[in-house]
Amino acid sequence: MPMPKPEWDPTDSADGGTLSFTASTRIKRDLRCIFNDPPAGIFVVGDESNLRIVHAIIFGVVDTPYEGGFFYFILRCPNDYPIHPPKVKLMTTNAGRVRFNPNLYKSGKVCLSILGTWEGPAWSPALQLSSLLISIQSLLCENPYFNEPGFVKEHVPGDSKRYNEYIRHETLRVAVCGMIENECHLNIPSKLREIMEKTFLEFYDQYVEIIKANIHLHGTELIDPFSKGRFVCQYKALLTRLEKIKGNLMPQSESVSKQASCSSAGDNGNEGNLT
Amino acid sequence: MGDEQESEPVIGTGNQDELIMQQQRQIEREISESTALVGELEPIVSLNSEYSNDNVYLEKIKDLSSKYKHIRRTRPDGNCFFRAFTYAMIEQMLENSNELEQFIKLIECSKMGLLRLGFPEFTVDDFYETFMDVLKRVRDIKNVNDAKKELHTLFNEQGYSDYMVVYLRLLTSGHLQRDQEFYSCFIEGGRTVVDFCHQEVEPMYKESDHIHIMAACAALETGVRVVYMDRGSSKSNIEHDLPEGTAPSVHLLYRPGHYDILYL
Repeated sequence: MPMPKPEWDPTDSADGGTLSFTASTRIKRDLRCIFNDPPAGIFVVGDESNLRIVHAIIFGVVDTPYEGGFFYFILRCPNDYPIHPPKVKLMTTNAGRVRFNPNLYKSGKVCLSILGTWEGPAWSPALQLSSLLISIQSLLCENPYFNEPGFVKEHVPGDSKRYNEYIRHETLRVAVCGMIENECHLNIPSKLREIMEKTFLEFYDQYVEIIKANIHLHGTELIDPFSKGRFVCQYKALLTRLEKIKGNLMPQSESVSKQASCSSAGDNGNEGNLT
Repeated sequence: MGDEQESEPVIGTGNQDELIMQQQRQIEREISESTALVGELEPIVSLNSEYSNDNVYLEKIKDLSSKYKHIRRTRPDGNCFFRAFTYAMIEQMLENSNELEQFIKLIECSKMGLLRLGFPEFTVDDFYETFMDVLKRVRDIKNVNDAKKELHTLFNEQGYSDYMVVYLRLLTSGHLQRDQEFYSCFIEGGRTVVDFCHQEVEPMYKESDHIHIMAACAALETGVRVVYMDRGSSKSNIEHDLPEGTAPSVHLLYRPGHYDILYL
């Protein structure tokens, strides 16, 4: 017997019935509202073949361990939207291997009360896609360890900091490099791909800064206090990977001149021993 | 969150819980959906069948039938107060075209009030338009019985019916927010009126309490009599007029967790 897909999963295409007229006009207006007044760090496009599906990238906010990451979400509106909320899935999980937040499971499930996937204030028809995405963005916060219910205090001293180190590393590895390379072969709409690539280049120096500031962790063990998983920190390899991605994205001439300026900076500083 | 299985999420114990919850929700949905959104008129004694061996309730149904002729059941989906109240109010105004015209004017002005409170226009529009559409459609039918039939049809179409409920929920929230000072003392748990509105008033399927009823009545400038029927020891049912001292235009039967419409 085929197992039913979990109820929260928007990639389950069998929701049957047709989108009501009011739902379809409302989805369009929700999207227009985001285009006219885009919330900082949130990029959205409608699906070309299915009005009820919306693709969104949430860009990790500066000064959080998610800084610079591209978190790709698929939203699927029900037939009676906005009476019921959309279903939402985080696609940036390295194929179900990384849990980026106590509320963002590696299965892609987003635990949020307004989605009906967690306790607390429920969805209301007065909410809209932009308010939903802002709520999800707020999960990607400075100290996500404390998002876990009941975790007002660290179970082991240093857990929150360790969790941030793990998230920061996985953000660069999975949500930056993995997303730009599209290593998991996600069907990311081309418009969002362009935005990611452009943002990557603009943010490139900052990625390098983050790695520099954490390079001392290279080769040490990163620990996810939730899964107790242990991983070897690979910042040096990540730096090489970032450089390669940048090289591929830059138009030929520009990439040469930038590389030149990079290596000259390396002569003055201690960048040479990073790679 | 702590419940995510770190083993491969095929169909281990973590997913089992979710599937059980899913099944429970499905059962609840089926029970709820077997009741019409708004039912037909039934004699009060039709309630007897629900309490065949329960003398306390049978006594109270007798008391109820001495005052009321009919009951109209509504779907027990948490929206029953808002649905019953709106339906009953419009239904009785169909007998009085002046009242209906005044009511249409009140609704026309109500949208501006919500926008002033900061509700984005495009999130309010569809619900407002639907509410107005229903009012105008039943107004434009000359024969009162035909108008009542149309109202009944529209209220049993999920799309219309739910949008009517949403708009009254928004109006109720708007009234609570405008009159925060007064209502704040009725709210428990240290929440602000605005929090309360976001958590208990605006979301669909959230059940209604006294405070919802008071604010909904105030927003629509009317009064309601709620007849409470429970296992309490008194022989007769307790009646409550909200707001106090206002002549009720709508009569509702309350049994723990649910409202139906009563007819004199």
